Amino acid sequence: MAVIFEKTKALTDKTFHYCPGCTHGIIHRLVAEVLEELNLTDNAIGVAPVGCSVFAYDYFNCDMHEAAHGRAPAVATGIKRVHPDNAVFTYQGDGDLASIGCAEIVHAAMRGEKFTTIFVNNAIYGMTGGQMAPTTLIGQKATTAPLGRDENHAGLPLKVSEMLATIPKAVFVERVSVHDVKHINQAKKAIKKAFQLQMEGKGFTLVEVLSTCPTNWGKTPVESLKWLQENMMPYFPLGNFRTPEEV
Amino acid sequence: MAKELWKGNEAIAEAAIKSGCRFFFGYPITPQNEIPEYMSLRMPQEGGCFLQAESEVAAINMVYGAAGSGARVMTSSSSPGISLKQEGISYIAGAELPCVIVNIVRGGPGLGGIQPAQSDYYQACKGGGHGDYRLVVLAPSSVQEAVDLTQEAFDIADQYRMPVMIMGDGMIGQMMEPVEFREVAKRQLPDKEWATTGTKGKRKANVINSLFIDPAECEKHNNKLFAKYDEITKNEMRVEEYKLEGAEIVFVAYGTTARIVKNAINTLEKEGIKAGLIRPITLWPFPYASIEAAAEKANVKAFLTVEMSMGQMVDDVKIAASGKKPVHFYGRTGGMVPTPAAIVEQVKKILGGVK
Amino acid sequence: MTSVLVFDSKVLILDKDGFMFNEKRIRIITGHYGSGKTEFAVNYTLGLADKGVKTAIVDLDIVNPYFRSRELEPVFNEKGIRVISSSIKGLAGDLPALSPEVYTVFHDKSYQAVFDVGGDKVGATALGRYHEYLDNEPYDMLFVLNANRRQTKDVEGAVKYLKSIEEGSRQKVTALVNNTHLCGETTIDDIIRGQELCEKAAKELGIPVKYIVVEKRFADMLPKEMEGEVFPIDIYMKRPWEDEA
Ligand SMILES: Cc1ncc(C[n+]2csc(CCOP(=O)(O)OP(=O)(O)O)c2C)c(N)n1
Ligand code: SF4
Repeated sequence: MAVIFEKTKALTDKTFHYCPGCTHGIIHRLVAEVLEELNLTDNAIGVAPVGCSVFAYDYFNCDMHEAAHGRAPAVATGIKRVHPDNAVFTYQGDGDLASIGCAEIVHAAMRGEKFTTIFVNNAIYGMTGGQMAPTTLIGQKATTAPLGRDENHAGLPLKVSEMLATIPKAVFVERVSVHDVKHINQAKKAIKKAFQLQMEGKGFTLVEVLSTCPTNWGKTPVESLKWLQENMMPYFPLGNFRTPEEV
Repeated sequence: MAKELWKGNEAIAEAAIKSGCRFFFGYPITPQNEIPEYMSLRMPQEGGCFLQAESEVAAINMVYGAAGSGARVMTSSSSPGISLKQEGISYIAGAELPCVIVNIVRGGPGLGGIQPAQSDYYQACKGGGHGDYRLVVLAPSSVQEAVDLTQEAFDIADQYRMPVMIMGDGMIGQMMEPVEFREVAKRQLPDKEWATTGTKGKRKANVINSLFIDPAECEKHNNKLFAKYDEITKNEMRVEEYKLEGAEIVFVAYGTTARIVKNAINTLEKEGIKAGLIRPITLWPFPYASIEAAAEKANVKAFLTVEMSMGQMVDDVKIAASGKKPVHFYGRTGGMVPTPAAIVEQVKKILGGVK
Repeated sequence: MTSVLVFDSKVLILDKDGFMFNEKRIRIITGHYGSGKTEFAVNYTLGLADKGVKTAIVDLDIVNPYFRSRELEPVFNEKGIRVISSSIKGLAGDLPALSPEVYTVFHDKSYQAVFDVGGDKVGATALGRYHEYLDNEPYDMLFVLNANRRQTKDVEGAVKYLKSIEEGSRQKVTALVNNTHLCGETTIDDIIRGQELCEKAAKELGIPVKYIVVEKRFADMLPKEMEGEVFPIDIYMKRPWEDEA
């Protein structure tokens, strides 16, 4: 019998714990496929965050660190400085990266740390049960914004990619989405590019992935994909914000 | 007022509002999320301010700013978040600012887990942040006591110009119990003439600061802080003594653990073994005197400290007993809770050994 | 002798005492946290299984980290009840991680299912993601009310709270359950006061009061004229100091 589909070897056989329809699973898979295709699985060292993807260390079939909440970029800096030839990546949620870890990510980018960050933006705190994230949209309800996020009180959602793209040594910054096959393919391309540039020693690379949280959004998986498209994409436009000039 | 059923975390939040706290800065972490969530709803109703900070580091520094500006202010978190606040707490203690910090303790170290623990005793009582300073640490063992102590905490903070910590294990934050909101005894509180409110041209500028260029000045400042701590030790130390009369075994336990111990004491009593409990309500100032007094008594054969940790408070019990009677320890950790049966068994082991 | 009658997706289960669990196959139990919702859900599920039907309890509580029905898994397993909760085993996980197994009870209609939904609107939100199933199969959604909780102590508060749960869960409450208690300090007056509140709220909402939940010691002390069936319970969600030594 011919094998027509094989799960990437860069993922372990452990079943994901994510809620059904959560796109964390797809994003894991894309990262893993890229590692395998670039022949980096045996060389990669990943850093898992604190957030719903806290068990990422059980899923990626490579060396992994678990970091304190928000500190993954600092941990990755330590790893990459010790192992400059390894593929180093962080996988972080929006609470982890854009709230408590905002300083770490900005300074890793500023220094041009040569690792890749996969930034999963689902506009909410999933793990702790639906609190407001820096990326929560205006009017979107959260347990700590019971009447919906109010811009006069909590400001406007942080556009991380746009912000980091202003940093010279952030050489590759792209926002992608995984709500349909076409976009999943584009997302994979961006992730691949980021790892390639990392291995070429170009500088800091980041891919922001718009993601769903059906459980805390209170929506079916299909509705969630639609909500992402209709609400998140207008505010968080997809596209490349930084890429090194081809020579 | 009739009793109502409250969840510990919510009750602490409501008690703070009742005490005039109008500023709350926090960051989500389990098992204390109901405090910020409740505050996010209630503070605007009271004309107060709830703000979700970007991190615990930011939250405690917002507290520093608000406290220095003369407000009644609170923050809450659980163990990993409290670790992040340590720098800010040291600054707040150094600058002598009143505020209330709630720690709903979970299992550690590191990320640990979300189940109840008492393994932050050292951190709360023996430093935590850098420098010579103290926190008043209040350890409720019921939701009612959490309410009463929260209300008092703000007064203690204002009276002595210092940070007060409410330390409850996860169980205290998560369980439901009948509660009555009572008036707390009024204290004579000093005016906050040191607060930064803008001079309005009427007074010298106020500075909130903990920097001393001259070491002699810094030492003087520390001496002043410790004179204050002595006064607090005299005035604010609190302890509950339970069935100590004629006890052969004296337990020392606080918070949820103390309630489990009481259950064990009643079981032991039925079996003809006399046991009593010393329950520190203030972990700092620690009730050394109660333990010293028990150690002097002829009927007391040994102490048994029970904690949800590998043994932290037991050090203080040993200091107080100063070798007069043996001090034993039994603990569960990482989010595990001791059972009454296991505690009873420990007592039998100890007494078997003594006889 | 137990007889199970099924018609129009409504199950009528009669036991020898004539006690009925006449809810639809899917029952959703909601309420304020602290209403005693989980205690009721646990007793209800155990009672249902005692009737000899194939029972599953779905713990959808993503709000409370402690005191969730999944903690009683051994008790349920002993009675052959299927427990569905998080895909992560272990109580210390701070993760929603709803299990895909939840879909089983929608697809396998041989199950009698009890959903224990986390307290408050946020907890109920987790139900929203299943609404396409619930829109297609009639269900009963019981709202557990405790008049000793501040937010639900009067009709206005109770109705407002119920509506917020409906909004979060995107489903409609079909009946009220009076579970007015004060933990160990409950008196008969609490229950009667709670019943008055429930009956008034029920009238305003146009739905019935289905059950009056009481600890067994109160079962024979209640006045006769009350809407709903008396549902005596045992306390399962014990705190560590309530265990026998
Ligand atoms: C110092 C510290 N503060 C708070 C927490 C609690 N906490 C765990 S995950 C998290 C946020 C999760 O949100 P996000 O990063 O957006 O990831 P998601 O769960 O949505 O994937 C928080 C606040 C913690 N573990 N440590
Ligand atoms: S809570 Fe949200 S982000 Fe977390 S696993 Fe479930 S759906 Fe995904």
